[in-house]
Amino acid sequence: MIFIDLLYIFFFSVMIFSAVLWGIVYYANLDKIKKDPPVDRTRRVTILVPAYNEEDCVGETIQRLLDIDYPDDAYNIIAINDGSEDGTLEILKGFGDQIEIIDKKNTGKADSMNVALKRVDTELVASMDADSYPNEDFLKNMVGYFKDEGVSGVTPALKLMRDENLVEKIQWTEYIYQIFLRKIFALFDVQYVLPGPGSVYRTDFLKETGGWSEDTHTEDMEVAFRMMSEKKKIENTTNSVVWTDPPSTFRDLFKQRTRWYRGYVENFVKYRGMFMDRESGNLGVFFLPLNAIWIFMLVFLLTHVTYNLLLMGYQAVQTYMLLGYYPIDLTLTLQEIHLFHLFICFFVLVGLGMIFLSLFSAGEKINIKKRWLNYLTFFTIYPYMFAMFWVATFFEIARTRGKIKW
Amino acid sequence: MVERNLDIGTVILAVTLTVVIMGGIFLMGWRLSEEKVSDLERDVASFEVERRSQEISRQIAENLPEKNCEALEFAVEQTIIDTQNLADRVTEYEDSYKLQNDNFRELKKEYTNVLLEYWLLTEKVDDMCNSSTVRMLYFYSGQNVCPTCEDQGTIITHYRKKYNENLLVFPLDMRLDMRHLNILRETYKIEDYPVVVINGDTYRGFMDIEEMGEVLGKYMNEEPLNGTSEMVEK
Repeated sequence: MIFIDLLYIFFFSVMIFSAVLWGIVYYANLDKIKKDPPVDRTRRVTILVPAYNEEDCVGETIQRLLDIDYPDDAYNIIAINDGSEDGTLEILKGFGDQIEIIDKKNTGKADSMNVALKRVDTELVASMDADSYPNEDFLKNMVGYFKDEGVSGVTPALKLMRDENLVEKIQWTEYIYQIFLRKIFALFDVQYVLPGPGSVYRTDFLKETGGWSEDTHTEDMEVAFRMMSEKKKIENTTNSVVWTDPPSTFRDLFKQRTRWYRGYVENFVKYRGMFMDRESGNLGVFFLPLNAIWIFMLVFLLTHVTYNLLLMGYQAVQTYMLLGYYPIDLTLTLQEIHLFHLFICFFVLVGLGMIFLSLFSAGEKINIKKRWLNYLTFFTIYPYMFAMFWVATFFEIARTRGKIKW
Repeated sequence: MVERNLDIGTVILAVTLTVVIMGGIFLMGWRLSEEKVSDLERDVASFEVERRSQEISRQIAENLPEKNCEALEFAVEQTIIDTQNLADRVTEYEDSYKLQNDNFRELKKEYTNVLLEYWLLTEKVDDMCNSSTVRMLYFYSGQNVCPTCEDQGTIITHYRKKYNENLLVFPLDMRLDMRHLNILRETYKIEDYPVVVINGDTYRGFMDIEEMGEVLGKYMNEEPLNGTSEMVEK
């Protein structure tokens, strides 16, 4: 067996270990996957909606927030117009005194949220991106977690508003899979991001630790890392669904993901003290090292598989040039099957199992007829894209020498 | 503040199950490899039986007052197809090689023995019946010693399929340390690869599709083309 084969065996074992670990966590907490703690008392919540040029969607977001099933006197909405140049402000004003509006110059999302945070006097604060909106029972499923004084943040289940074109279809399955993973991460105490759409925070924690960070590409990830480093817990509910607007073009998706991944690297570096730190629990000792291996592994696999595809293409051209045609042989004989095919069969089974559990966690049906392309692209195109975005992120970091500039 | 504990028990269980699953897959892989080698062994054994039958047929035919060459040549042609199929399966095994299997090395030696015995038999049948099967001994080695052997193999496969039972190819892996291969190496003065020996004529170095087509054309009683005579050594 040559070195590259041994490397593949190592990667296969990492994949199997990850799948087994999440499977054990899932199985051990089967009763908690779809069950949230009961609401012990009504907790007051302020929902912050930062908006920059969001005239197309901010109206619906605010209306949906006004319609949620939570006592009217227990929650209020602050919409922040971050120097929009379109009709965002006018749409917000149309809601009259149902919401509080902050109109300010364009200074970015994190600063907008911090400006609003100063006005918050409720126990909890929620963030909601202007292009996202929640289900009616959004808050009811989340506030019960705050009975535990150690909990400083709760994340919802994110779903896409639509899956019409290929780029959206690829993301649809990813988001469903993330619902499953986020729950598992919460149960294993390793959540490292509080998504902008729909996360709920303990206000005191944010005010005491400086609100949202303005020196990172992903303030929602930074606040999660900070929470974990401050020995606070982050919980998750699969029952509070927030619908979000996905990037519809490859270019927008590329920009979004490279920003996210760059944010991950920044926060990884900023909180490097947590790496292999026993005090940081499962996140520091198990998850961050495992995630680093996964990133390296995917980048390597992308490179190696691309190299092999190019090599196959080159050999096909070479054979064509040798013979004047390309002999096509589609038969598969016993002698051609080898060890790696067995691993691939195993991973296909595991992948299907994971998707099945994800659909259950997300309360979705398989619906193969409608969503076969969503699943197919997730298993074929998505891993390449994921690895490619990471490669692009590393190039960008190297190009800008780590400076926060985009 | 929450006291963070490590879920060491969960991780140890996950590691244990991972080892069990990996072990299970490796065990299946090893069983698969064994099964593949057994499959080849059965083919080689069956081929050997066929060769011995032909050898006996040849001896009977030789001792009969009237030689029945037609029947003998027909039997040889049938075996040619088995030879080519066996060669394909051996190549497929080598291409999918992942797990060390000592049995395969021995099997390949056995396969080479049977192949050479069959080559000798066809020579005898040709002499006896005055027939003219085109026999090609193809000497090759690994990629590091012979970078063009893979391409040469592709071209030879092309002609093998084109001429079917009219062309007998005996691919000989010179990486195998076998006495009779060394005898052939000295006999044909082989220093570099690839080398093909067609009905006793030696052709050294890589031949592209046209060159090989011209060479084979001569032996197939086709109209020979120009430009290959300098490669021939009687």
